[in-house]
Amino acid sequence: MKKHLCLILSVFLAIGLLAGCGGGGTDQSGSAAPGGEEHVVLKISHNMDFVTIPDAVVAAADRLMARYAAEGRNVKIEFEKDYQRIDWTEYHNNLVFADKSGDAPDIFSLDSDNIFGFVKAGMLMDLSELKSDKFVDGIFEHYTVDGKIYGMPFDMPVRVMYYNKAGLAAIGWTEEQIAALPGQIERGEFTFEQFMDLAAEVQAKGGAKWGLAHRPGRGPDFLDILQVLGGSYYNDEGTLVFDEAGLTRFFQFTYDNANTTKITPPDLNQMGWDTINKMVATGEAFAYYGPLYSSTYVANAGGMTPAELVESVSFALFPKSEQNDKPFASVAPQGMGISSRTKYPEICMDLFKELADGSSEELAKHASTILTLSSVKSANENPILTENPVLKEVTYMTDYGVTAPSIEGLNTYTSELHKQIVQLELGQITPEAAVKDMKTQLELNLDADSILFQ
Amino acid sequence: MKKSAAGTLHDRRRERNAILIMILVSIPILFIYLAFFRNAFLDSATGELTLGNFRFLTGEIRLSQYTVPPMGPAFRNSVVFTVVVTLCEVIISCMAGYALARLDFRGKKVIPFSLLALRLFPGMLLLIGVLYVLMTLKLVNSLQGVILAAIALRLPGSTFIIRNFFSAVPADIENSALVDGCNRLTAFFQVVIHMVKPGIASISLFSFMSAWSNYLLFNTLIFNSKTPVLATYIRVLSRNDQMIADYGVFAAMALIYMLPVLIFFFISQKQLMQGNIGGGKGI
Amino acid sequence: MGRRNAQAYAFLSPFLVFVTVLYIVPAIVTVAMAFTNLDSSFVWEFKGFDNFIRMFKDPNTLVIARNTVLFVGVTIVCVVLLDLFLAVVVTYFIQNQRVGEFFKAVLMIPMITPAVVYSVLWIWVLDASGSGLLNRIAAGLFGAAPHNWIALYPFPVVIIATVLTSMAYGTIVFSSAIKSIPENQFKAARVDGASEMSIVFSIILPNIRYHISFIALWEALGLLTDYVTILLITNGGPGIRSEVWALSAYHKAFVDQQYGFGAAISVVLIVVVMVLMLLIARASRRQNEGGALQ
Repeated sequence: MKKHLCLILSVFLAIGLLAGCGGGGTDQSGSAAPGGEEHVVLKISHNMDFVTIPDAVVAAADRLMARYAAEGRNVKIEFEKDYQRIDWTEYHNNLVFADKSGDAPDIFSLDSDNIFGFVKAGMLMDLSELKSDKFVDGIFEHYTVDGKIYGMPFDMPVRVMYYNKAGLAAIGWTEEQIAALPGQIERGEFTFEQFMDLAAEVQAKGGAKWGLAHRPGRGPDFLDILQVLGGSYYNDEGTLVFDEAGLTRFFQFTYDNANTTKITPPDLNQMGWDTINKMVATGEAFAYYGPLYSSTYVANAGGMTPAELVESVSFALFPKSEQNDKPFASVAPQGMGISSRTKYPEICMDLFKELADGSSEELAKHASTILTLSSVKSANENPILTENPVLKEVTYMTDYGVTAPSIEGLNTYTSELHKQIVQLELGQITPEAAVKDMKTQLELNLDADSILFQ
Repeated sequence: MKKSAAGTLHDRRRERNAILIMILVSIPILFIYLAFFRNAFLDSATGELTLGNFRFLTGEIRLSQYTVPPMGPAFRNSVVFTVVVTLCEVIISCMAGYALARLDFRGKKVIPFSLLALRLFPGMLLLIGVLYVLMTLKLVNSLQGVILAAIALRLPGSTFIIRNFFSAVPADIENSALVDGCNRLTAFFQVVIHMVKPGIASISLFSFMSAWSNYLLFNTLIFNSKTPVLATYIRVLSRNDQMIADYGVFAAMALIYMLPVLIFFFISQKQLMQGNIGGGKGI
Repeated sequence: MGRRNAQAYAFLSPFLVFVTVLYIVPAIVTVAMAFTNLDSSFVWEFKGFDNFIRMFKDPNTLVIARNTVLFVGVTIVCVVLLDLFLAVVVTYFIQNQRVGEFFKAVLMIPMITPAVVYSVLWIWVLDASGSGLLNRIAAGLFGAAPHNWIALYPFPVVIIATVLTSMAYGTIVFSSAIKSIPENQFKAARVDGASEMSIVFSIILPNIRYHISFIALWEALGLLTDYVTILLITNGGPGIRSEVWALSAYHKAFVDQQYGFGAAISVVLIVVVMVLMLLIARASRRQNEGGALQ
């Protein structure tokens, strides 16, 4: 018996080792270079699907090396890539742990709401000297803490409302009326309340199965609706704010959509991204709100290209409402930071500068691949972007963009917010109880000085 | 448990009914598993029979939004991890169990008690502490670190079991070996070990299954994608907040993942059925 | 004696090194951490009993505690009853050794399935769309509309999933215990003309009393501390409807990055586990003193 076990174990081990040989090898670290060449290996880390972001950095390295050569410096830059596909919180943890054990990547992607965690742990290099008018105005606000800039924005994604044109046709709208809707919203002629009524009407008359859908997990999208309804979540100093009145309105709106007017499916949050994306693509859901870059996923779920998608789906700003008199689109850049422990601060900084400068084409490519506008002005003028069928429709939105600053504790806030949304939509809690519950949880989980209660 | 000839007819009818009951119980389990793994051989788009889902064995697979790397490195890491952990755990716990059962030394009473205490101490709740220790030892984020942690967390349990087996071996056998001129070490290896073979088989089996399935340790102690194992590799396809991208590919991966476990299981069924094993899952 | 000591410790040293460095020390670190507010910035600041007070004030704590008690309680009862039933059927009523072993092997399949695969298996069966297995069966049998089972009934789902993985172990333990009941007890009862039911209740059950209580406590321990299945199927949701104590310690530590608070939650659980442990020790001691057959 034991002999059998030993034999099997060794066969197993052999198979395993052989199997490993076939698989991909990872990159090696820099080795000693001949002559006066400086051999630099940068560890670059990223999470999830938008790999055009780190790839832009890698591509910029070529031009940077050429520039160095012109200056007489012989530098060879290589990258050790670590592209992961895990939960953003786990990714954030991984970076923190890596930093604490001295193994942090030189350049890494930042998760959107949690730059504070990195700053508090002292992990990020000060990038303030990056700020210049090559960048779109106000784009650095998202990465500013205590007056210092800690991240470089690689794009300018806008969060908008989606709606399905076929649904409008089904209730008798003419083509001109349909085409005019985004403009009406922009000029304030079509309000949010009217839009919600429209969604209900489309659903009632069979133009769609559901009037309104949204993302299935926690995220900043819901903050947009909160703001549309006149609520706020931060003040002028960038401190988190608990706006009780605003949240009550928002929770009532959420509850009603799923339980009273029934334009939102009550178990929307348990559906996966794929299902919801498909609903938006096929028009099963008339309206949706979220980032513009979701349209790549939506198109994919519906088996279309983004160009085909815009034939049936249109985008609009968040309309004005009784409580909020300015239509807007939220801006939430994605970006990368440089580790404060990197051995090559100058080279990393030069890479980032290069992206805003001569390599802005890389940023344009990134933006047009994932369907956002760019953070760099010259990239926004690049034909790759201006001729993109989806982006053409939304370039006007830059004038209505609202960028939130980096807010400490926002992560916990959005997390608690979503917990309440799940229960409200399932009809398991009343709006008043939800407000109370969220308040208690925030009081318990946040430091007293990071949140103000109104 | 033999029955006498009298009353056999009665018993046989009872037995038939009992078998029917067990069949009713077994059918759902087998049905679900077979139905699930059938997906591995069906193309998820067309529903036709195919082996295409197994492409990850040799190269990348491009799913709707992302590319899945080949399975090789993850498989190799899993194998190395499992084999090393199992071997070390068996050897170390045998040595310790033997000492605790046989040898007389200062502190003999204390250790078994603390052994029991440790064994029931939930290793899963100590993750952050383990993380800290490994960070201090500069072993974090490496396969070696996870191997050491996995061994340590299962040692108290295994030692406890094997010690019971050693205690059950009559002292005379060993004493006669010693009298015949062996020293302690030779006696250990040539005589005693064979008497506790069932015990060794049990703990190595449970150790194998636990190490092969291990997910939490790797999820917590590995910070990048450089050290994948099958558990984390397969998990990428099944994160909670999305619909599983492609059940066909996932079922194919799951099949490969479960194959070694099933093989070992069938080979060593007898050992597992002993009943006085006390292995269980754990971390 | 000195030489014997050295020999013994030579055998013991690897064990001692491993267990001390990677088990005892982390335990001490965790307990120490429970009294700080360690978070992602990794600054150790002693805060006394703040974490425990916070646990006390949080209304969610009550919900999670209740979930844990319910989860453990219901699962234990189900597991013990199911295992007894199965063990009796497979061992007592089925005489053929090989047939019995075959069924026991089938029962073990959920147990040996890696957690990552097992959870996806359940998610697949309970898939909310019309093509999910359970939905198709329900539609075929009752004409029911597709339901989102995991969101509607997270607690029962988690309990059933856990029961299926735990049932093999107890069945095997009870099975071998039943096999070792002396034959003459059965003969005597048969001579007295006892029915099968009364044989089960008056001979089999009393003889394996010790095993029953062992399994009950053993499973309780496992259920209190093993959270991987719940993590992978429902992740405690929706909201905190299926959140149990051990899982909330993991969430607080690794999702919210409040390591100190998470450690405090773990410490409370460890205390409860230790109390249970004492119960086991006391029960087994009493059993050893009282003798096997009663």
